[in-house]
This record gives sequence, structure tokens and C-alpha cells, in this order.
Amino acid sequence: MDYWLVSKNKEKLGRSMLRKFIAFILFLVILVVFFLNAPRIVNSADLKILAQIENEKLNLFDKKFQLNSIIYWNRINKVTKVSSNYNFYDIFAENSIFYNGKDFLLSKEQNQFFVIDKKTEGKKYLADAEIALTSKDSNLFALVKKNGLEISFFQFVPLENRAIEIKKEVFSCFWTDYKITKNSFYFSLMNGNCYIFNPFELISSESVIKDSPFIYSISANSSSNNFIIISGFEPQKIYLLNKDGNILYQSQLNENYTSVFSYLLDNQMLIIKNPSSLLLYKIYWNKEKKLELLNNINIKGEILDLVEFYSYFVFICSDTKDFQLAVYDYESKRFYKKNLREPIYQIEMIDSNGVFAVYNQDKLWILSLNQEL
Amino acid sequence: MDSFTESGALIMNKSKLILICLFFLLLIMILPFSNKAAQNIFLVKDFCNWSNSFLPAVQFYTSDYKLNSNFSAELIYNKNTISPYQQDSIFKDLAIYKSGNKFIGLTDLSYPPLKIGPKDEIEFTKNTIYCFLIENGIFINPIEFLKPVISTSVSIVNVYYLNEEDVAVAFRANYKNNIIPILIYAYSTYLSGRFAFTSNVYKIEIFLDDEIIYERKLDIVSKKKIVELLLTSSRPQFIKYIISNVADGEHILRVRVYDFNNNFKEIQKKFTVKSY
Repeated sequence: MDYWLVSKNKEKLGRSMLRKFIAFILFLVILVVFFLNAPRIVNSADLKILAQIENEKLNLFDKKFQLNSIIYWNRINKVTKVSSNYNFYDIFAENSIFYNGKDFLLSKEQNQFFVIDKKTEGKKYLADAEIALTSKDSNLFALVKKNGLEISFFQFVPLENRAIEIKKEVFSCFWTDYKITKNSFYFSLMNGNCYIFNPFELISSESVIKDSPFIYSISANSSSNNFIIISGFEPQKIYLLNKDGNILYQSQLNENYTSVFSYLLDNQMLIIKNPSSLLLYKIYWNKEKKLELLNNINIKGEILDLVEFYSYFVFICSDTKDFQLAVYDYESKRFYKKNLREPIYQIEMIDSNGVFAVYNQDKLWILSLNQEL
Repeated sequence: MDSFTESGALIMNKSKLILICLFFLLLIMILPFSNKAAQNIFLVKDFCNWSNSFLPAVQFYTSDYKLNSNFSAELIYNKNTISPYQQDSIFKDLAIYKSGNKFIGLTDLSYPPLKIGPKDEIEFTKNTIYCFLIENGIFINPIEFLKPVISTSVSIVNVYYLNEEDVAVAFRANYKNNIIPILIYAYSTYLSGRFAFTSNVYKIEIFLDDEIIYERKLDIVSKKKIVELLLTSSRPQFIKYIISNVADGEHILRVRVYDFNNNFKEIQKKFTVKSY
């Protein structure tokens, strides 16, 4: 009888031990799965460097790779044209600063701005101004006078090899951020207003966002007429707005930052970058307008440049000390990064299949995303 | 007969028309020389090259790269230039503080403190910095705001004649920081003035033979006034003073510029009005 009781107790003990063991294993599995899926940035060692150019010296790491397009390497005081046969040609002017547009370059010589057609390399005087606002995806650009308030809007006409002034505007305040898309100009002003100008519809408007005395960032894309701002301090909010400046949706950010920027991608993804982290959202513009947080990673610094591919977006992030090249893969829904030994500032798409160039004033690297990440 | 009457009527109408035209032509010729107009200053033409325009952001100098604040404020915006490619901003390094309903913009702070108390020392990386002020959504001239914490001076230098061959009198002042440029342009019947404010010029007065003919003081700048300021003070411009009622002969034109501490510099220039 006793033996039977003891053996039954042992059996019970064994079962409970087994249960505990299974629970522990399950816990470990859950832990591993959690860690694997946790939103974090993973080192990407497989981002392949195809070529490196230092001044005019070429180092071809992948001999199979052929450059089939022209790279306009903006080196600030000159632009080096790298052609498909790796021939180098400098577009240069003394005491000049260059700005890169879609089909054109702008050179600032003293206070005079010249427009240069990328195809014909024809150069024409445009206007006197202090700074230029360009976008490498657009033929729209703006020139700003020294006072920072008087802005002239231009459109580059590639076939006619000239830029036409579309409009002049005097802003009531300085701007904190701007975005030039293929069809519109967007400015966030320090007094809480947004200025939007679409030269193709000849529509311009200055919208006042209620209860938002200060706007940090404005973002828009070429595939939508809506735009996004980050506004206010304590609380800081994201606003989704239509082209008339009407608020479609608003959401409060968990923390307030003195420096925060937003980027609206063409596939309706929204990046919010504060000094310590990056938040990636999916935007739903349809009936139920909302923001869905997809990822939140710790990456220091500011986004210096960004380029979009079909399956990825790639960006350079820096806090002045460290420079990182980061990739977000839409399929795996993961971020990958590569720490860089040297500073890089700009990205240029070479091939829509995932080949791109990154550069500073002295060096240019050609990289490929077609590798297993 | 019918045709004669018709052509006669036509002749009458034509002569009337010619008379009316002559009358208006005479009026147009007389008007600019009338005494009424002579009392006024007119903005005639904008000769702006924007190289030295008035900024809503005031440039001022700090001693030892430091400034004792006279306000309490909280840092709400901070942007630094990381990349040499970031050439698309008027200010390279900018911090904006909220002080009540005011936003105070300061450039080139060494380490922007999160909070500033009255008499706190603010450190800058440069001794030439910019400041701007936005109150209730509009730019306010920050000179009054900065008055207790900075000192400055004002001066006019290098007066020289411009294009002496064509005009009876013309002179202009070259200018650098702290110095007001003045161009007075005189024809036989017109006297025009061109000036632009630098940051430290608070008030300008123009006298003709001891009689004040123009006075301008910078004050609150609303959006409407910004446009006006851009047209009247930021852009170097011609101000036309009609001097047809000024007798032929020598006259003295005095231009006096003030900083906000009422320090002033004056420049005197003799000029001659000649009737052709």
C-alpha cells in the first residue's frame, strides 16, 4: 500500500516536473521568438560594395558590375559626372556651390545662381539669391533671398533647357522645414502656418493649424496631395492634413523633442526621426484614417539622405560622430544597418533593382542591395 | 450737304479732343512741380540687389562669446548642421526658446541650455549672432527686446559722389556691418534718397536746410508690414523728394541715423539745385 502511494506520489512529482520543464522550454521558445522578432536594427554584413571611386581613381570590386547610367556626384564646389564607362568629367565654376535637381544642377557663384541642364550642360544665369531649395526627384525648385522671407518658385523645363519663374512670395515667418515633391512645394512656418503651392494647378494656400503655434516638420510625397506635420511642444502631435490644410487625423507623440523630422514615402509609409530613435508608420488615408506603428528602433542622429526602392528604403543616419547606412526591408519588415568608417552624406539611386551610390566630397561608393541580407 | 455737316462735326470733335489732350498733358507736366507734391517723399523705384537687406533676424555682437539673458525661457527647437551638404537653411545652427507667448530665435549657441533664467549666461560659438522674435505669430523687431543686454553704435562712412556728370548732386555711403548706406540722388528738379537699414540702425532722419523731411523708425513688424519693410527699408531704394520749390543754389542735406540707445551719427552734404 505504502509502496503504491510512494510510487503514485513519484509519478505525480514526475508529471509536474515534466509540466514545469515543458513550460520552461515553451517560455524559452517564446523568449527566442520574441528576441528574433523584436524591433531592432541588425548589422548587415552582406551589403555588397561593387566599386569605390576616390577622386578619379576607380577601384572595381565586382568586375561583373557595369555602370549603365550617369552619376552626378555633387562635391559641393564641383559636380563630377561619372559616365557609364567610368569616365570622369568635372562641371566646375570658381567659388561656387552646386545644388542637385532631377534634370538640372544649380550653381551659386558669389550671389548669382545659374541653371545647368544635365543633358546638354547648357548654363544660364537665373537670379541673384542666397540659398536654393532643390529636390533630386523634382524639377521644381526655389531660390531664397538673404532675408529668408522672399522666395521665388521655379520650374526647370528640360526640353527647353531653361527654368521659368512661376511665382514670388513673401513669407510671414521663417520656415523650419520644407519639402519639394514632383508637383508641389510645402513649407512649415515658425508661426504655426503651412504654406503649400502646386504650380500645376496654380494653387497656393497658407493654412493655419489651430492650437499649433510651432511646426517642427512637414512631409509630403508625389503620390498624394495630403501632407503631414509635426507640431506643438508638450504635447507634440502628428497631424495628417489634406491639401486645403484640413486636419484628417491627429495623434499625440509619447515624448517631446526639440528636434524631430518626418519623411513621407511614396508607398505611404511615414518615418518620424527624433535624436534617439526612428518610428516607422503605415498611413491609411481611406475611410478610417489612421497611423499604424510598424517599427520603432534605436538609431541616433538625423537622417541626412534617403532613397526609395520597390522592396527597400535606404537612408544615411548621423549624429556628427557616427555615420550609419540603414536599410528597411518591406518583406522581412526588418531594419539592417552598416556602420561606416568614413562620413557619407548623400545617396543616389543608380538602378531601381537596388544599386545605389553613397558619397561625400572626396569618395563615392557603389553598393548593391541584391545580396542576401 | 449731309457729308459736309458730318465732316464739320468731326472737325469740331477732333479739335475738342486735341484741346482736352493738351490740357491733360499740361496738367501732367505741371503736377510734379507743384508745391503740394514738394512736401512729400515718394517711393519711386526699387534698385534692390538684396546683398544687404534688412533681416527680421537682427545681427548683433557679443563680447567674449557670452550674453547675459534678461528673460526666462524654455528650449523648444534646436537644429544643427551635420552635413556640409545642408546648405538649404538661412541659419546653420538655430535654437528657439519659448518665453511666455514669444518665440526667441538665437543662432550659434555652444550648448543650448534647456532652460534659461534671467541673468543666466548664454554661451555662443561666435561673437556675431542672430536673434529674431515671434510674438503671437508675427515677427517683432527684436531690437527693443535686446536693448537691455547689448550695446552697439552706428556710423556712416565713405561718402562719395555718384555719377556727377549727369546729375547736379549725388552721393552715397559705403557700408559694412553697423553702418547705414545712403544714396541721395539729385536731378535738377528731383532729390532722391536711397537707404537701407542694417541691424543696428533704429531710426533715420533726413533734414533739408534744418527742416525734417523724412523720419522712419523700426517697430512691430506684421506680415503686411514685412512686405512694406521689404519694399521700403530692406531693399536699397530711391526715395524721391521733389525739390521744385527749393530755390536754386546751395542747400544742405543732413542724414542722421540712430541706434536704439539714441546714439547717432550725422552726415551733411551740400548740394546745388540748378534750373535748366
